[in-house]
Amino acid sequence: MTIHPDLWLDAYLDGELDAVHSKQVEAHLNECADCRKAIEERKALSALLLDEPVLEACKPASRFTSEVALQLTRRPYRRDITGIRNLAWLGTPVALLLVAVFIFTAGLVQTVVDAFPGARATLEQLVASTASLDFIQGGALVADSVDTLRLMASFAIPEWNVVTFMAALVLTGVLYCCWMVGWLTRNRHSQHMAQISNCIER
Amino acid sequence: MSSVQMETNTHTDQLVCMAQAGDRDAFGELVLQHRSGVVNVVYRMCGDPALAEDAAQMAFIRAWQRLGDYRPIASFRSWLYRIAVNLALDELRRSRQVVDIDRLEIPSGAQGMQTSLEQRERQAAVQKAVQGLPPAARAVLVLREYAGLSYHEIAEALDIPAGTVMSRLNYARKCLITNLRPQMEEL
Repeated sequence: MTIHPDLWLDAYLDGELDAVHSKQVEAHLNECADCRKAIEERKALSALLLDEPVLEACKPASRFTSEVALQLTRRPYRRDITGIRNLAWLGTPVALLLVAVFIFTAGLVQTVVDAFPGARATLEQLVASTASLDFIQGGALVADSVDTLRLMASFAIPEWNVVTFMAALVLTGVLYCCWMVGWLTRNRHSQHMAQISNCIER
Repeated sequence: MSSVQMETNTHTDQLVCMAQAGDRDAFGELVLQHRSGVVNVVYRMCGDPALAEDAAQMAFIRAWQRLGDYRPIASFRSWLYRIAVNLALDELRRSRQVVDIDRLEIPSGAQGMQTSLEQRERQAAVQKAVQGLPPAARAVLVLREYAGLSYHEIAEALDIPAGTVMSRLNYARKCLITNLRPQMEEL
């Protein structure tokens, strides 16, 4: 080792290096007088710093604590967002699943529509013309047909190609994985807090 | 980690949990546990014993206010020291370094002891050198040398990467070695 491991010397002295790096530093120290001197200087500095006395508080502990207690509010500040947080946790996978269903259905409907030449244009025209049907009191059957047409069009009109289709699916999958990691971490934290609560109750 | 240390950590976790639920007595116990550490960290940061005690009390009050945001991913001690260091830095910024490093006081504990004149001069020189460091490097040095935090805990406390902790500590130590060489030779 020809380069002086300057930053590592501090970590070595503080016991923060792993076994492999510690051995590397020790090997270097056996060869390098400058680094041995640097280590000695750091040890002397630590001794000098520790030679300084610990500051003894002027106020007695009871007074210190009661002065702090006097200024404490009734309860520690805690934003109550539990409801929103739970809703977000449950809503996220549902929303992601809906997005995935939309992507799949859109792809499927588009394939069917594109299989018939001119079908897309006809569908778009139909949707445009059905706008006026909202005002017709034609009963539930007509209204349902209009809604179905609109729904089909909303799936068929986006111009999906293989790349956008795959990118959207991969993105949805990645977001779902992120949610799962977050969920697991949250559960682990909840278990830890439950253990502590159990300890307290006992 | 030794079993005693693990037991202490569990006890601290219990106290924190109780304090988070609004138990003021549990928080009082936490204050007692960490009082000396917080006072000393603030003192080493700002160099004024009187200011250190008041700022430490403020740090505990701020900790109580933010206790709801504490998560046991980080150690309570490093979370508390983070508040203390930030408070000390705020105090320093507010007073725009009015603490005259040439007039630094040696704490009363040291005066009580029968320290020799050279020893006092040496301690004053050390304090002056520490106060002369840039705040970012000083915070890392104080948390390592005086509070005994690990690099990981310092990184958590100051919200910086472990590599930055290493480089700042290296810088701080090099500066101090240069400035305190005569005192180091005396010791």
